[in-house]
Amino acid sequence: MANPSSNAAETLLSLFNIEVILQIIFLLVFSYVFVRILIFFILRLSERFDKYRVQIRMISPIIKITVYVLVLYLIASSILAISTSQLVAFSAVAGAIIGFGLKDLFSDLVGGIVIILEHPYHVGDQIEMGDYYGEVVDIGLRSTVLRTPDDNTVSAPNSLIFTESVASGNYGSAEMMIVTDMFMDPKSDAYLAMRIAEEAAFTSKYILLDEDHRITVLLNEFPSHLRVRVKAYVNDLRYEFKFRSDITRRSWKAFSEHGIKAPEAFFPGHYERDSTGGRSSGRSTGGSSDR
Amino acid sequence: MPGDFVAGYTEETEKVVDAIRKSGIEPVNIAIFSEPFAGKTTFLNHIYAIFRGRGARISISHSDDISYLKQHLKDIRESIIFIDDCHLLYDRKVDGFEELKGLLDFIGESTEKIFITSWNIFSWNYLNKTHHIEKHFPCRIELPEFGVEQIRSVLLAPYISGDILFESGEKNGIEHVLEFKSYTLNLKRMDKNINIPYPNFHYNLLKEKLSFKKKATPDEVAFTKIKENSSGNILLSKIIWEKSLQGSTIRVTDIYSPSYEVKLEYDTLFIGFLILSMGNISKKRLESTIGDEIDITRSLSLLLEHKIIRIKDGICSIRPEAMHHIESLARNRRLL
Repeated sequence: MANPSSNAAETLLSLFNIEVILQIIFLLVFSYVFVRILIFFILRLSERFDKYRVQIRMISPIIKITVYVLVLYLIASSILAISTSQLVAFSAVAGAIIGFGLKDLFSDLVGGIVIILEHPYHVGDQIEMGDYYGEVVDIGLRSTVLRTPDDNTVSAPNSLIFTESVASGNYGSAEMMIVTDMFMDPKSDAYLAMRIAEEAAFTSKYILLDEDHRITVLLNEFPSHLRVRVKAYVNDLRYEFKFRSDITRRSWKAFSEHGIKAPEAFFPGHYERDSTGGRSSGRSTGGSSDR
Repeated sequence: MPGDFVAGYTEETEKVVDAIRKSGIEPVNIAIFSEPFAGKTTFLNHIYAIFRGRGARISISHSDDISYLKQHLKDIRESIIFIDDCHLLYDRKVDGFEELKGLLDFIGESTEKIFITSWNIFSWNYLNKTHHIEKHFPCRIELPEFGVEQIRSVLLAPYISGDILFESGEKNGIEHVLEFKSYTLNLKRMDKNINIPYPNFHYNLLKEKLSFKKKATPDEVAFTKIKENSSGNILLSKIIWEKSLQGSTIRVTDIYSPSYEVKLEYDTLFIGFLILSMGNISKKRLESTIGDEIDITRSLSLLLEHKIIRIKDGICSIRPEAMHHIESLARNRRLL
């Protein structure tokens, strides 16, 4: 009695000859180059339209997946001309391969398709997924490429979307809400601090202000300090850290001029040593929003 | 010139005069705003001339000290106060809005006086988002773009009929709707040029041929083109006119079109946009607004080099030709 798996392998092998292999290689190389060129132009185009940068970049993974799926279909239907029995045989072999050795890869591929169909995030989004944080620069079939705030390029497997929650700061928009916390001595003039923090936000060169994007300033009292929290939108998520730093720096410069001090509990003995009472205006207190 | 110029704003003049006349019981404060060089000061002067006996006029200086305003306002006895260039009352920095708030508070307290104010539209829009200034001015008038006929009457006002000759400047010969041209491809490695023919479709000619409208005369085309190139800004129209005039002839094909290809980095663009929002601002005040965040000397040099601004006696001002380019760049980078 013949072994069914060796029969399937023989059926599969019978499909290939030198000519077919060359055709498949040509098609794969051609589609790869075609996709790279197309994506290159999309990226160039997106840089010309800052306002719609993220939206334009969102097209690239869709193009990539579409072209590759079409190529696979073309290989299967026209070059290999797989019949139903061959397809069943092929599925059996593929199933065995996926089940034993390449289940992670397969899981990543399915993750990639889910990302394209469900859009939990897009190219250009600033996302947090598991241990990863950064701007999505590419969504591939197997992995998502992120650029971290430290300018590292991280390749996160697409299967992470099944196991980790994804937080997208801008979700397809170029703008993003930035939360900046500043802590001060509880004896400080809280209203003055709030006014200064708000002005530091709306005078920033990175602010986005319109009907839908407004500034919120919140005050919280803690036993050892006051916290002024500014929620404002940066006009381009690439300036996320510059914007936060800009608000913090200019706020502290004004705080210093108006005699608002950092909480003493944070810097024990600091004010005894510095009798002038002023603290460094350039000191950054990123607080919970620091990354 | 002013007479012809304000003739373009008849509707707006009526609106202001009507608002002032109706505000016997409850004064209606008026805000007039426009882009730079659109004539808001001339328009304000025109309204001031109508109510000269009842009004006092103040022009905010673009110099560094603007703290005199509050006392000056208190001393005014007239019932209508005209304040020109109110956007110069703020600086885009922390603690930079005190004088503006002072004016708005004074307006709120002075219930028996009418305030007619003029603003740069970019500053007006910004201050609306940050300080909701429109609630202090129930009557708001945005000076519209000039139309072709208004531009024509202003530009031709100094001339007698027939002084200026308009020429189409088109080449002679029949133009076909479809023409074949050739593109020369230079193959550097082979040191060879190849001519590749391609069809050139004259859509406008086809539209013209299909249209039943009378063909526009060269002067109509010229003023339409000036209007398009200036976006209806009267000072820019005048500059285009002067640059296009060859002796006493205007050739349609040679009408000057301000074009800037230059791309500016974010910081330099921000400074350019600040100057645009202020119209004129002293370098000293600009430095105090920016602080040490941006290398201002370098940015101003770049703006000067690209002919976007001019600096005279320490005052930075936007060039009319560059105004719409900076606006478009700022809009693209979401600065406004």
